[in-house]
Amino acid sequence: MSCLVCGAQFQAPANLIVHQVLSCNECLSEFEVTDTEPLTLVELPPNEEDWGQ
Amino acid sequence: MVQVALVHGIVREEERLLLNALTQHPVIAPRLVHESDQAQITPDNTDCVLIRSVSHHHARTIAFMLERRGLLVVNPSQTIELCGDKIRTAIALEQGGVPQPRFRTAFSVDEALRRMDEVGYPLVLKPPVGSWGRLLAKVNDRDAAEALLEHKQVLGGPQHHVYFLQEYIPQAGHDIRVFIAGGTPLAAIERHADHWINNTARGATVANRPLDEGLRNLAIAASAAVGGGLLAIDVLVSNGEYLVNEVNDRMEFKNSIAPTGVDLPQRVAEYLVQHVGVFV
Ligand SMILES: [Zn+2]
Repeated sequence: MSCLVCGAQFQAPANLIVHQVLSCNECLSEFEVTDTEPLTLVELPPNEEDWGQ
Repeated sequence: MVQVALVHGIVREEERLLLNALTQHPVIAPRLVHESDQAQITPDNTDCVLIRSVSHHHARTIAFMLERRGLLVVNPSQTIELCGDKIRTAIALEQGGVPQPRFRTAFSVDEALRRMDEVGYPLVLKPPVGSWGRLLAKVNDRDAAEALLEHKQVLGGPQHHVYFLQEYIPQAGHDIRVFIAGGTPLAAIERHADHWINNTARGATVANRPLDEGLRNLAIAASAAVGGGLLAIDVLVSNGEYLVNEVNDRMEFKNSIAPTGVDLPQRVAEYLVQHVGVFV
C-alpha cells in the first residue's frame, strides 16, 4: 500500500489488528489501523502531552 | 486459565510483543480491550488487567475505575498516579529513603527562581507530567531561567505552572534503566546518546548493563516506594553513587530485549500469573 503522506509504497505486516500503529519507512509518518478488512489507515495525530511511559 | 485483559489505546510494537507472550503462556487466556470498551471488563470475565494505554491520564483513570469495579489491575492506579507525576515520584522516593537528585518544587515564577538559585545552575526543569524527554529544559543560568519561566507562565496551561526542578547530574554519555517485576530486577540497559537527554524515543542507543548489587538494591527500594508492579527505573550515576531519576509505570522495552537477552514480555506474563496467585 502507499503512504498517505508521501506516497511511498510500503508492505503492511501480516496479522494487523485494529488500533495498531504503522509507520512509513520513507517519511516516518505514523498511521493507526482503523479497519483491517479492507485495510484502512488514518494519520496518527501528534503525540499528546501525557503520552509516554 | 488466567483471563488477562490487555487495555490499550494505540497498539505499538510493545503491545504486540506482550500479546504474543501472553498468548504463548500455557495458563493465560489473553484478550485485547480498547480503552473505549473498558466497561465490558468485569470480575466475572477477567482475573487481571494489564494497563498499556499510552496516555498517562487514560491509564490512571481506567485503572482506578477497574479497581473500583473489583478488578486486579497492573499497575495499580496508585502506582500509575505516583510514577506519572515527577513530583509525586520524588516525594514517594524521598519517603522510601531512595537516593535521587536533589529537587525542589515551586508554584509561582518568583518561587521557582528562588528555588533554582538554591539548587544551583545548571539544573533541569521538568513538567511534572510528561515523557519521552519532551519539554525537559537544562537551565544553564539565571537569564535562561527567567526566560523559560516567563514562556511557561504566558504560553503554558495550569499544569505548566507547577514547577519541578532537579539538580543536573552530568552523565558519562549514558544513563541506566532497570526493569523490575514484583520487586525482582529482570535486566538493565545503558542508554547512550550524544544529547544530554538519553531517551530511546529520541534516538539513544542501547547496550546491556550487568545488574550489580547496588543497582539491584536501588531498583528494589524504588519499586517498593511506588507500590511495586511492572516498572522501568531510570538511574543516573553521580560520583559512583546510583540515583533514581524517574520511574516508568508502563515500560517501553522493545529495544531492550535483544541487548539484554532477557525476554521481557515473557517475564511480564510470568509476573501476571504469579500476581494472580495461580501456581503452575
Ligand atoms: Zn511516507
